[in-house]
Amino acid sequence: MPANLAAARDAANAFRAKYITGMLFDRFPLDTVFIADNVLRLDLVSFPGLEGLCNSTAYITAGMTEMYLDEALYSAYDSRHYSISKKNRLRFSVAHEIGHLTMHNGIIDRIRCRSIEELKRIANNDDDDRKCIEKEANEFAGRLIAPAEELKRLVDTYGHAQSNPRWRDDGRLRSEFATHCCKTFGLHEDGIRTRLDRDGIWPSDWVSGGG
Amino acid sequence: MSTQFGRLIKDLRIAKGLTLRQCCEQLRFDPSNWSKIERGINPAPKDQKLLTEWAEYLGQQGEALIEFLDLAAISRNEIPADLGSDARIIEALPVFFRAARGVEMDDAKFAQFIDQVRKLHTTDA
Repeated sequence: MPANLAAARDAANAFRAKYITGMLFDRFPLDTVFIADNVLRLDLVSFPGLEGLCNSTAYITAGMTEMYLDEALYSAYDSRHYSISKKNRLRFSVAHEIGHLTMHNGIIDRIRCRSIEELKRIANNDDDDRKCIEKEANEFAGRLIAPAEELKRLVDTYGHAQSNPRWRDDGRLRSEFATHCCKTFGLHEDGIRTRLDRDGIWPSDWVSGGG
Repeated sequence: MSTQFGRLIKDLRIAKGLTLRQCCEQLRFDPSNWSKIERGINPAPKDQKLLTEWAEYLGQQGEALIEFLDLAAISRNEIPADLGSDARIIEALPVFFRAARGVEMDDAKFAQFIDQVRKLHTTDA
């Protein structure tokens, strides 16, 4: 089955409307760890060395009540002297897992592992269905962290400050905007660029000169 | 699988607007241990002074304080069955276990992963 990215974006919008809009934590960058812990009331479990073992920083368990977080990143998240990139990576990973919880709860019985041996078999051999599911969760996470409406508002504000009326054609400006937005949303530059493309706000094929 | 005490401290913590780590920082208590208490894997500590400090921090006074301490005592008699069983571990496995592109998980790493899952769901001695 192909990944339904439009449905993932809609799910992210619905999630935001249901849980975030108008709340005290409705601000940027979005505190996805707080949302998982205090809003969705998931059990967040600090997992030593998770990223080193699995090359991933967060996982939701089959019971959909626990989420494992890489211990080092989870510790850094609350630290006053945190690494911004570490915090942002965890932010996205948690949003990704929330995406699974939101969109894929209904198919758990079909795809869950029923034994450790089965988990081992799929650990290194994702099938097409699982790859699509992962793409949908990524799309959910990106849209949740950097909602289209807010991103568009920022692009419009950025554009008003440009003297060149054809500023949207300039790839260098697009790249500069993406860099500038990282801090606002707590999302990597590549993630910002993906949002600009997927939400049709400032697609890369409009520009010349990279970006 | 959470005990009543585990659920209570989670509810009180969330009502106070605190994440698990924020609460533990204030109480100077290990977050991993607190997590296990909330999830019913570890019982409440025996130290009454510590429990009372927690209760007061979480806003429990009078009758509510007594109930808090009672539930803590009950939890110590409700130590869950061995959580190292395979059925429990299977429930604790990631459901969307994605292989990172181009990065294989070798047998040693996989064994470490499963071992860690077991530890996270096993009562501390």
